[in-house]
Amino acid sequence: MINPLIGIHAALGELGSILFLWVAIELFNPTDKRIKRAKFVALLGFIFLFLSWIIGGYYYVKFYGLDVKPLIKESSASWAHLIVMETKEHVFLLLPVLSLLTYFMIKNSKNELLKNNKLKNSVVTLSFLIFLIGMSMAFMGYLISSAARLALEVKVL
Amino acid sequence: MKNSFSLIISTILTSILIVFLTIYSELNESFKKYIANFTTHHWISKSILTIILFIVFYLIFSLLIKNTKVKPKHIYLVILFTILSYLAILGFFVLEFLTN
Repeated sequence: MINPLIGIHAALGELGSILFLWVAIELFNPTDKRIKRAKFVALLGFIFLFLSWIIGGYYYVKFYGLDVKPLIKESSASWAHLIVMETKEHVFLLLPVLSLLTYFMIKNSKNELLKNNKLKNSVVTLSFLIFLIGMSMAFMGYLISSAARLALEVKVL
Repeated sequence: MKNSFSLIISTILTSILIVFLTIYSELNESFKKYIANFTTHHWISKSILTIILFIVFYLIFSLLIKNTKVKPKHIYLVILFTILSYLAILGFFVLEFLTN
């Protein structure tokens, strides 16, 4: 049966990552209003990524480890667990920390971001990096799901 | 969390910690079991340790360092450590797969 938790985890993670692309765009040419909006969007992004962490973690421990992991490991696509999932589950831990840092950088340095172009560019780069890591997580999720489907098809046939 | 400089140091140290916990727990089975015993699963323990140590690092450096202005190079250092952490974790599991 398809588990809805995996969809919720992916949706929250992707939305959270895309929100940091929004943050980067708001800060390209910052004004008071745009910084306020970027701060709110970064907080929302952090909350989404945090929830994705909790829901994905619950799914990983309760269902993936018992049902999906053995299936993938026995298949010809064992790399999908041994490389992709192992990397995904550990690299993901960086995302909530980075998103929280971005939120507080915007909150604590509002005036600096308006005046200091170099500081603004560094925060834009950080936000864009969060977006890119988030998208790489989504791609890894796609690879793992495809490997699980392949392993299941081979087993059924 | 008003001390941005302490947040930056805390983020860098947390990313190093994540790499250490990931690689060392794969190389040392007893360490993996040891941290798993704190909760029910090694990944849950790593997640909780990430949160706790991020906060602890922040509190320690907030007491030690005050009024240090954040410069762009500090943010770029976070970016560099993040990319290196990502590559270290990915590289480790690729090597593990190829050599086992």
